[in-house]
Amino acid sequence: MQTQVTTANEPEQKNWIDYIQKDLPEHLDWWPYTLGAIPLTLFGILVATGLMLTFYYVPAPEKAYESVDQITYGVYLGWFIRGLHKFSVDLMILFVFFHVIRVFVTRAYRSPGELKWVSGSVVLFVTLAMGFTGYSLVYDNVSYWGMTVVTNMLGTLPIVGTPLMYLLRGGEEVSGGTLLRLYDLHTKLLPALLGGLVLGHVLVVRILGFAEVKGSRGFHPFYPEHTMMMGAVAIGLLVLLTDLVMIFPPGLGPPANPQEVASDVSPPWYFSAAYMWITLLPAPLSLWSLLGGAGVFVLYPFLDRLLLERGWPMPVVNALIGVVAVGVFAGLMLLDLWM
Amino acid sequence: MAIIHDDAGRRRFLSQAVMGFGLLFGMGTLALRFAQFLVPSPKPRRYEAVLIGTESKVPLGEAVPMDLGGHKIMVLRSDEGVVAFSRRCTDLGCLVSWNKEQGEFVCPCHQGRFDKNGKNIAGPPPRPLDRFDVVKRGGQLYVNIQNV
Amino acid sequence: MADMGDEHRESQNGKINFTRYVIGGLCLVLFLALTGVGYVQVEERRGGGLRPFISAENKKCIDCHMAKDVAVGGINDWKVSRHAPKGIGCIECHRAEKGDVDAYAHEGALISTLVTPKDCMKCHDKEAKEFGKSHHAKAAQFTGSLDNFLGNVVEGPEVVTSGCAGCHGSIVKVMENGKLHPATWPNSGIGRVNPDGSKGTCAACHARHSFSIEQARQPESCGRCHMGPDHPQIEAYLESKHGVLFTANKEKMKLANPSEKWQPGKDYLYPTCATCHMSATGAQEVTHDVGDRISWTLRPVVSTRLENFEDRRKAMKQVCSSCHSEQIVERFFTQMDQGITLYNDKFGKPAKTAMDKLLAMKKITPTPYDEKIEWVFYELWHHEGRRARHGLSKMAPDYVHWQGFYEVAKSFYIKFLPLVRELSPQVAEELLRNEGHKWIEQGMTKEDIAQMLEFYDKEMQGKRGGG
Repeated sequence: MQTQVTTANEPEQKNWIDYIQKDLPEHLDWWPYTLGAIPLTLFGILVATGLMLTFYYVPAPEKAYESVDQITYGVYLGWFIRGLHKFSVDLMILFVFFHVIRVFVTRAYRSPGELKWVSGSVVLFVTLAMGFTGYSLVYDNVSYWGMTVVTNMLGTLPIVGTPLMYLLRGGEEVSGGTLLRLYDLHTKLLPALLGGLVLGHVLVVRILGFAEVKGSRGFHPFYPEHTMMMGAVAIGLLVLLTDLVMIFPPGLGPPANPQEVASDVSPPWYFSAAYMWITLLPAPLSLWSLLGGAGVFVLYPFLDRLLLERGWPMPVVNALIGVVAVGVFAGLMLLDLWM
Repeated sequence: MAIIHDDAGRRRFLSQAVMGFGLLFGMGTLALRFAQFLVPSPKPRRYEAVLIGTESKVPLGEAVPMDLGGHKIMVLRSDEGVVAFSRRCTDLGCLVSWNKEQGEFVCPCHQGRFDKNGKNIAGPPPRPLDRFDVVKRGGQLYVNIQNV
Repeated sequence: MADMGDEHRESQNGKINFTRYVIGGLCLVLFLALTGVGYVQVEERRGGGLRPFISAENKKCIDCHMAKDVAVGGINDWKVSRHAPKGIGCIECHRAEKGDVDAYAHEGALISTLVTPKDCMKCHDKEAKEFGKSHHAKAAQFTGSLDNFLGNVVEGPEVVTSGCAGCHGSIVKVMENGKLHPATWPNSGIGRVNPDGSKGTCAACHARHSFSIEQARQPESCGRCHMGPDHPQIEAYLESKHGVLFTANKEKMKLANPSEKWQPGKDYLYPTCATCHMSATGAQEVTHDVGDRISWTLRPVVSTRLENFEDRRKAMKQVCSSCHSEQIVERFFTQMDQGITLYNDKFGKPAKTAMDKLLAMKKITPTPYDEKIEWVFYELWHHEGRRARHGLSKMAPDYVHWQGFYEVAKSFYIKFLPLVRELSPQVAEELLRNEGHKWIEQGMTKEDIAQMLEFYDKEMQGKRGGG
């Protein structure tokens, strides 16, 4: 613990520890503002369990499903590690969504913090990509058809579409090459990218500072107060995850059957809404509207600033948009469940 | 003389002790579980006797190829009895086939050859073919396959 | 560090302390949860359970049956059997050869519904051979007996189908189309005569399709047939100390253990039917000939010793010795043998002799069951006499006395004796020649009466018997 003793003569020497220890406003103790730490912890758990799973998983189409079956039913505590991995994904994406909603509603991206939001939205997209590539590795029916449908969709983009599809598929069709590429993405490229992006996002938030919150006056240092709390949250998460895995151990759907399109195939819940959106809307409109929406999402802070200058009551607008977005998302998810 | 009650120090020690103790147990068990997952124990090498048929199913002097749960084997019947060999050539893993006239197993990849006892007699293979135990019970033949 | 006032520092310290407790506490909860994980792994997952090994051929059978929802119970039962992980599935047992009487074509395969000891013998040859020479395999051969007359004629042929044959086994008949005649199948009677010539069905005790040894070892499996007024084996067993202890300690019985690990006195302590009559002990192997250790036959009017009875008795004594001392074992068998001899000499032999004489004197018709005395005699030895004898062999006191000899004596004295006397006073006199019947004429001696009066005066406060 360093105490900086300042004398009148010497200018304050700031070293990196000071930056880390820079004051955190007291409102960070309040639970809506801690939501971001949870995906961070879960990311750590995912990396650890994912690494362990690579000790048993085999990324070849004939062996992939069998190896996952082995892990789930054969390997000692395999079900536990796989269960931790699966639940961490669900919880991580869920809490990222909660975190996004909180940031959006409190408009914490306000100037000069737009970069916080932009970096965060890239983190979100890469996280979803990790979810997609990870699920494809199981090579059950959902994996196989997920791979086919998503790469097909990407293939419809103009100019970049076909090369992108070939890049992801490793050829014209979904094959063993596809599995290997997605495995590479999931275990090498994307985790490294995501790790860097998450680190970047956290640094950007620290450096650019926290948006002002009414009523929050005091400050506390990062270490030990904030770190201890994050530690407690992390362990609490582990307890929750362990209990969830014990009560709902992971299972396995039927293996990939390229000959037959299973009628009940649907993607994991975090893609349900997008999947329904694409199903309900006609072809080019659905994809373009999704991409357009993503673009608006990334650049929203700038849009916010623009509208604020025009006198729009942005806090209210954001609250409204938040309610509608969550409602549509949930509605589409329920629709997928019902159909 | 003022009495110094160092409550703060004592309280801190106590809370640190509880945390340390808890961390030891909690993180220790977690690390143990991770280790148990990664290090398979040597014991559960369970063999399952899988039925392959009657002895008459394998004609004398012939080797019948079979696939039992991923294990590709050849069941050879000679005067000495019935033996089951793994079809994986010990060179690079190609599948060997049985040449009845020569009485040898031949590997198509680099022309490795094994005699009827599975011993490597020609070509690159460095060691004999793996064997599987064959058990006979009541007129039926079983092969002991590892149930991993 | 930020410049804080002392108060603020203190409250922050307090918060940190609290957080430390939270972390420590949560860690301990985590520790408990992870311990639970270990328990779940060991108990429920068992590091790789034995999963059914389904060959391509069997997959066809299973897929179609499951899809059409036909007899799926059998398939799900099979999946938990010990056959399943070894790849012994539908085809391995139900396959038929061309020329088999009960073979028929089904979805491209030649199969037979009936699986007989001849099929089971392909792997379980020892058990099938032992069973084949046992009395169980002969169970359906009562067709020429009086019992069959009783069921078939006196009662009705349907009774034989659903009643007698249900335990003893039917004679399975195959119809023109290769399917089985409904009057003879379904049937799991233990002596079932199969179209392929073999006798019996293993599924009588090892019910299909799980063929569980644990289930077969339960007394109830035997008790399905070995019960009732004419041979209450299971009832007597459950009354006996052995049965009481078994019922109280069922969970400790380890009924699913393989024979090498199911030794009486070591792995389990309370005998079942299987223990004495079949199972392995340290010194003996399993036998599927249930008669191997039985020295008396308690079946006929007069019990006799079986062939080779000394060896059989020795084998049975060895089972008892797994738990008991020689003193107990010797004395028990002495008591049992003497009890059976009592039945034979006092009731069984005299009654049989009397009936033989009456038949020779043409005092009763040769048609069985058409006269009252025949029914009385029948029940005397077939029901009451057998109950007494089974009570003796199973150490079941109530079956020896109240449900056994009491009823034997009662029927003998107040039903059988008067009916015999009616037909021939001389035969009746010869009936009572045994020492044990002398009390009828002699009554009690003066000393006996004095003793009894003393008992009633002292113990029963002067009340006389029945008061």
